[in-house]
Amino acid sequence: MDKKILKLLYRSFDEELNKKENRQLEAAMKQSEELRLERDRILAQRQALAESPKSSFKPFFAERVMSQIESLGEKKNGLETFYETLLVMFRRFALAGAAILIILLLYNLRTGDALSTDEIFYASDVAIEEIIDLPLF
Amino acid sequence: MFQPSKLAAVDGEEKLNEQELVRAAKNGDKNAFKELIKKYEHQVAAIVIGMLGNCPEAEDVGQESFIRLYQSLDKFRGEASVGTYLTRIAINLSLNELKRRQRKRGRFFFRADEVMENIPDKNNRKQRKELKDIVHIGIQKLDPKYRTVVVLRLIDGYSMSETAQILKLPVGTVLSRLARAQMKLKEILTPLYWDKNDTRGEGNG
Repeated sequence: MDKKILKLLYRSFDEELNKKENRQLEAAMKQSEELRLERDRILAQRQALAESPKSSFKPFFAERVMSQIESLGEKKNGLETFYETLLVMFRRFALAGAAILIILLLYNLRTGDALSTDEIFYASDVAIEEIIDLPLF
Repeated sequence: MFQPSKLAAVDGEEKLNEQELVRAAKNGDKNAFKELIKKYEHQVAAIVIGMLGNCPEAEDVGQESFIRLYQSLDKFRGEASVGTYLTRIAINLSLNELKRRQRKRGRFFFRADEVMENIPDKNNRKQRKELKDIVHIGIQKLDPKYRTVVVLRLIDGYSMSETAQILKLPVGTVLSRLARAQMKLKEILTPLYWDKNDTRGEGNG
């Protein structure tokens, strides 16, 4: 079968051929039984596809989708809750640290006459060499 | 031989209702979104089942299509209809599923012997399946890019321009893929159906 004519046949189903192409195709159809058979088979295939039974999902599909969406929302809130919990815990530690510092300051103010960093951290009698020698390093 | 546009005359009132549903869903109205699901359920089913066959994964992909729509509602500007937007999502997710299958099995489509298992004894007239039963098996053997145009154009009934718009391809490309797809489908169906049901009346059956 002439490939060019075959291509015309396939194109004719979905686009408008010009007059020359239509004439060529019609002439070829008159002469070739094989081409007419090819056209009939393509038509039958297209019809079978167009007449396909309407596809559908199982019943209550919409409900299942909404249920998935709800559970996605819950997961998101869980993640947000985790971050919020972390922030709250950090704030508590920070507040506790600040409270201890204030207590130390007040204690030093009460026991000493002046409020200085030396008095707070007992740093006046400590030399740098002694700090370096600490087991921290 | 032309088919009219599937969306040629979208009812103005229907479009307004759709816009209202989308607006309400964007504002958090879950019932509005549920109405959208019911409205487009069959359209999405036709696409994913056409692409993937009637299998459990088709429903998963269908669900995921609507979930993706829900998650992207804020970005939806209404330039395309909800139906077109959903169709694109469903097509892309179906293609992803086909790629996943390929990675898993090393092929996009069934082997010939798998297909033959689904075909009844060719000598048994009573069991002979009609073309419409076999043609869907044949579609599953098409390469995804051909399968997509066949599903949209020949099963779902979108026009050529709509199909091109959904796939973001030139109309010429869609035309050539469709022609090629029909040729391939005919080749696939020849041993499965045409050889047994010769329309010239010289069939084996």
